[in-house]
Amino acid sequence: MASTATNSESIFTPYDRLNSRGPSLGTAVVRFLRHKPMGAFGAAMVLVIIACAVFAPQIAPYHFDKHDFLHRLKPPNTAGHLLGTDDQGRDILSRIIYGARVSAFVGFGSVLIATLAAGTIGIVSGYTGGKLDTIVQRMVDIWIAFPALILLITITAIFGTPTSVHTIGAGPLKLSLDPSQLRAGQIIFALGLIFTGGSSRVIRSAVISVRGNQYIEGARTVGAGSPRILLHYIVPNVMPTLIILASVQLGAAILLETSLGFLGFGIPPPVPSWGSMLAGVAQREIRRDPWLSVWPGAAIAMTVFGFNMLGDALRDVLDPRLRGAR
Amino acid sequence: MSRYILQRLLFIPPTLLGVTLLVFMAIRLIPGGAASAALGENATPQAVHDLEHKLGLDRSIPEQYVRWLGGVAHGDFGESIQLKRSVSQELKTFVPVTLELGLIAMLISVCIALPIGTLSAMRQDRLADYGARSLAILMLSLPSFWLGTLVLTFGSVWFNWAPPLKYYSLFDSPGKNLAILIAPALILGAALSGTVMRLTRAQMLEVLRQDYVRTAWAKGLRERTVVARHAVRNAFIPVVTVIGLQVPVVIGGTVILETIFSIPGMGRFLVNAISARDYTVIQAVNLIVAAIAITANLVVDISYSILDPRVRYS
Repeated sequence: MASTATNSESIFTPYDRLNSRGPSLGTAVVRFLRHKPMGAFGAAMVLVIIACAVFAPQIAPYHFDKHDFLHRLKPPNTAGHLLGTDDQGRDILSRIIYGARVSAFVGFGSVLIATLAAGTIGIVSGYTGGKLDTIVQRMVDIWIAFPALILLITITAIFGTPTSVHTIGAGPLKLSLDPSQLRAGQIIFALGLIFTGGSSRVIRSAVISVRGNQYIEGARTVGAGSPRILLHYIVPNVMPTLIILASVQLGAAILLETSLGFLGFGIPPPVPSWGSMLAGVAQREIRRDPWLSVWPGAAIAMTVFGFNMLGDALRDVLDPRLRGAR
Repeated sequence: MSRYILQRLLFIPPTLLGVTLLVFMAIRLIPGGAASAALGENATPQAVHDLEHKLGLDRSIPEQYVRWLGGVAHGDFGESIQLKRSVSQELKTFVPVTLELGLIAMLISVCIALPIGTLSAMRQDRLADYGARSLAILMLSLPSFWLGTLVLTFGSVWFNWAPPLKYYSLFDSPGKNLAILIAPALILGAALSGTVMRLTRAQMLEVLRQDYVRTAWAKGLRERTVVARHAVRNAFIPVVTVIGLQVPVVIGGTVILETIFSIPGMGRFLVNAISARDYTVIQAVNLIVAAIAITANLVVDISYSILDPRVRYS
């Protein structure tokens, strides 16, 4: 965040604008770090979360479900547990590190679905216009009338809580999913659908604004067909919008997934999810161990803050119209 | 003007009809059927059949839809599977509580966001601006269920405070009602203020660069007069839209906070219904919240066209 017009502009120098290939990736990263310190902080936070998710078994001091009944509900920094233990003697820090897996998996999975679906719907609807656009937009109207969290808990309620291993696919694509993996898949699918509605409308607006440019008319005049116009002119121009939307939605997806976990409809135990860690024992043992409610929430807040900071910085860099304005 | 309003009003019935169709079909997509899911895995086929008959689920889908829609049109959402009481009667007590909590939260968010957003724009790229922008992103990042839990945890540990156990309605005891709602409303209001703060700043920056504002400065007017009389009025018009668009977010937020603070509103009603797989209630609450969101959008569009004449002429 905290960007100035001058700072933002200096990421892309006048030379870069003349040079159609732009600065090299390394140069762009160094400039981003120098001119967008808060964005760089956000990016660092995001990298930490990804590292925790990928290398959880190597980083976490204990397995997330290792019980130590002699050291239950221990305060921070006791008996080799930096952030203390829960009511079953499980290490809170390890559960938070493993919990990053759920958040990262759900966040990136749902945003990938939403970006692909919303990109397709928004581009087709915006570019085609006419009756198709009207019908699609009325359907989007209906979809976005539902509050995201209410839609999420309703969709997951419709799926029902998985209790046993499910096998999907066949042959080499056969996949066995335990209840926690199946629930994560359901949440990713539901969040993907939820984000698709609003995002497709934003992308449609971007497409309509690009479609009216003279270079599109020029391309059409020299004989370019719709597929070429879409791929070479429309898609590259709405790509910044897609990236900005995705970065903002990552934080929102994590907030919604953790909210679902907090309400008791998220990933089933014993797999740790930050939202469910805040419910249950943290609520029951409020007076005995208030720290139980502090750490998972801090992990959520810092992760979402990181994604939002990164999203804000990306918006400044990728969308020149918004520089220093938002 | 009236043509624009009429146009907007004409969009409402098909959208609402689409919402009813979506809500209705969603419940029919439940694997194994709603009755079986509500009764659980150990239910006998006879019990499932009886409940299906009672809920009318053994009829054809079009017939079920027409009957259900007819009931909804008359304010009848059916009988709760779990409570065995009329859902409409239950909603009559729960909906006003949620609306009150939501309205107080929105009021709080506006009170926080407008002054800070305006100040942030007036002090662009200075310390106050950086602080305000960081605060806005922080507000967007803090999970309301965490803040609610912290308020309960540390309120209890440090101040021996706990939220009142009994709920009093606004008409029975306004003071006690506010005592119950103020903590969740403050948390929800703070969470909402982030978006409004960012938009207020963006709009103020745009307006402050306009020629008429430059003219006001050139006339030698004081900063307070320039901002209050010339800039704020125009900058706040789009903010009205965003406040209206926040309605679904507010309703989503009330689900969490009503659950944490044990407030008998629509959100907690929904959470309890989902735990009990009470699909009659789930269906009704979804329909009500979507209708509230659509109405709020309509009100925003109409008020926007009154505040900014360019909208209705475009």
